[in-house]
Amino acid sequence: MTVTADATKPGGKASAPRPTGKGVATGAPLRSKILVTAILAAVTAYFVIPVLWVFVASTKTTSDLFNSFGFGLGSEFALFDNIARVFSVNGAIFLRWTFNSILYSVVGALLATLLAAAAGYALAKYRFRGRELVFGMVLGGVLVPAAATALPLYLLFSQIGLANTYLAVLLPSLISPFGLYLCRIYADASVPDSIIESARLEGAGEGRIFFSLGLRLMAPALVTVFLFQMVGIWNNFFLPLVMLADEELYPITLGLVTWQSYQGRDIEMYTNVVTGSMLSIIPLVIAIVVLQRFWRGGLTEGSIKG
Amino acid sequence: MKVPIPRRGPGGLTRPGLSNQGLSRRGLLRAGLTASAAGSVAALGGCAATVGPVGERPLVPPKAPDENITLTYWTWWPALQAVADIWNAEHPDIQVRAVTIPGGLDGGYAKMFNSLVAGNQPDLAQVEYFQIPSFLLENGLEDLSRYGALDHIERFDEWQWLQASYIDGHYGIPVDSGPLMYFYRADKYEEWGIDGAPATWDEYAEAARRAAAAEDGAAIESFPVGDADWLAGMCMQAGAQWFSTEGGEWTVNFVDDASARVARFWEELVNEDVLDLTHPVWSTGWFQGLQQGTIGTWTVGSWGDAIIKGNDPDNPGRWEVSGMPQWEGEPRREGTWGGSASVVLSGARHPHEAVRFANWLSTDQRAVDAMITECGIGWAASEEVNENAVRNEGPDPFFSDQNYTDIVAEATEHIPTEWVWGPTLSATKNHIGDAFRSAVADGTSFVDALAQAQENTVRDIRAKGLSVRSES
Repeated sequence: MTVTADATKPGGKASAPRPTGKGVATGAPLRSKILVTAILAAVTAYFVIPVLWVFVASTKTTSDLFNSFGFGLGSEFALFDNIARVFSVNGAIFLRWTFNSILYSVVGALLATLLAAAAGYALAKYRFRGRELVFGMVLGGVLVPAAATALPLYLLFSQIGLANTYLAVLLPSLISPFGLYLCRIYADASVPDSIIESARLEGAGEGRIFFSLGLRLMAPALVTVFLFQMVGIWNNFFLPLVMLADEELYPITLGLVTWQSYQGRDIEMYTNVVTGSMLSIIPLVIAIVVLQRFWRGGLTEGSIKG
Repeated sequence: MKVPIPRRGPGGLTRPGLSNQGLSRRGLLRAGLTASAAGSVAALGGCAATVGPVGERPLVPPKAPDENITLTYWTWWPALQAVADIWNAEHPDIQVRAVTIPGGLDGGYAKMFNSLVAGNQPDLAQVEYFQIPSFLLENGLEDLSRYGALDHIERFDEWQWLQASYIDGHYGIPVDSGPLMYFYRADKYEEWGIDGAPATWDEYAEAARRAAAAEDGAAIESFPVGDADWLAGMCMQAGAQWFSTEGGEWTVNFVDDASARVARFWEELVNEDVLDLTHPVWSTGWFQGLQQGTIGTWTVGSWGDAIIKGNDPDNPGRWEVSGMPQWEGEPRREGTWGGSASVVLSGARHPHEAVRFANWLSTDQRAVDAMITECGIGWAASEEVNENAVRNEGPDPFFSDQNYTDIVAEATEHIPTEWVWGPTLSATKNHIGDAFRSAVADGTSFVDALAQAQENTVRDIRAKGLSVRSES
């Protein structure tokens, strides 16, 4: 639902000015500059327009929502009423969903990043038999969509009594094959063996070396992994759908779909779903804005050193 | 005005379309484990619960008198708990907890199938009528006639009760239904020179032409391209019967005379370009069209009243409602769209108590009133509870002082009871949607589209290992 929002930010901001500015395209003929700009503008519009609609629509009353131009304001500015209603309707459960989403995505992404960093670091810096095999299997894991594993996980979790708990969503979210892959590549490039060697000579244990040196040197990659994982968990619908049967445990995605199912009976729900979607984008926008500096720095740094 | 219900057989009732003769459950609903495991309904890959045919399972005893239990009810109505709380206050030993899950085809049914496989199914669930055979195919429902459901049979309208009766059992307690109603903008009809709601489909066609000619960009109705629920209701109303189960096998017939008549009728109007094809029903443009009067009609289940009112609350007196236009030379018939029942998923631990609660939910006036105000339900399970409901406040200023409840009640007396849903309905809906969307896009025959959907449906049912044949 909200992937578009984050995809736009770095794409739109970082690359749009480039062809006209001092960047790579300086030497290119004017025609191709125009062409590139036009393509980028079109892509940006493609991603931004739906988000824009959500923001505009959430300022309207239900009746205006259908009775006014989609990208223009309605007769009344009802944004604050709508927000108040989203947070009060249905026993004020939206607040709970927001809390759950934050819990799943922040805790899940933090732990997932730590695990990916540790495993990636180990694969990059320790030589042991079967290392490439482990790495190959992890790479294979990148190819398996998370949705494909949700159902088997549900059956397993049901057997051990973990279905329909916070852990049912948190535990599967801790594994990020892509994050591990990225961490290994990054650790290879950014954590020099010589530093590890000298730390060992100083008498530091392996754990300490990882936590105080490795993690620090890998920080830019970790931000990337964290962001990817957080956005992934935030937007995840299928795993919670399969695992949870208690609206107190739902994240926003699943909760909004239950509201959406109901809008055929209560048209006010339409406005609640739209406003709820708008609200659910905001934490992601904040996260991206705050962290994108590290993100971009991280990626370029890695590519230069690698 | 209650329809007398004959008591017959273990399932309580049999329908004309559902003969019990020489009919085996096995052939109709279950072709053995292999077929079920290979072609499970749950697209997620769930296979059938391995608990054996429902009728052969040992009866679950009622709870002990001093035992306290909690029933879980999966529903897509966010406020059902408020209704259950009325019951909870009076039944400290049987507490009901409502859990909101996404609507059936939004993932709710897949979730139920998964829970059957994993063994953590709820006691009760809300399932739409069309989905009941799909659950039977997976052995997913308890036969409620074994748990006292028939004791309450006389409190329900026959046409609703029968929607949950299949073959030799009864699988759901009706909660609400959606008799098809004809909502129209009386003010625009007058402006376009149409004399009220058309009594016949011929008059409807004439009215459609008139509306298109009278005002630029206006249309009598938005044609719901590819909406299988709508189409099924239309065909039901014309006297069609898409599925039947005679002789121990499924018969599929989407192109009987009545269905073909419906298809040709709409094809002609679409080709004449007198219906709205640019604002799909439920789109914001369509809602806008209803408000502004560029779309003058909506044919939908009786639950559509809440949407009509919610979309255009400040203009009472514009709208009127009536029963469906009729087919010339046919007895009066109405159709249905939507509706759901409380079912007990197989393997649930407290079926006796679940049936007691489900019965209370559907027939206690306080429960029905609470469902109307809290959940916005459609037509409740019997005419009596509807007549006495909070919603029935006499003449309704919004609908130009018509008495909405009376109009629906009158229409329900003409709803055919033979209609049966097939066992792979969610796929069938997709087939119909696909076939009609391409027929409209390519300008090809709607009857052929029906035939195409029928062919695909027969293949689906066969793939489940069931015996099936195509009629005509």
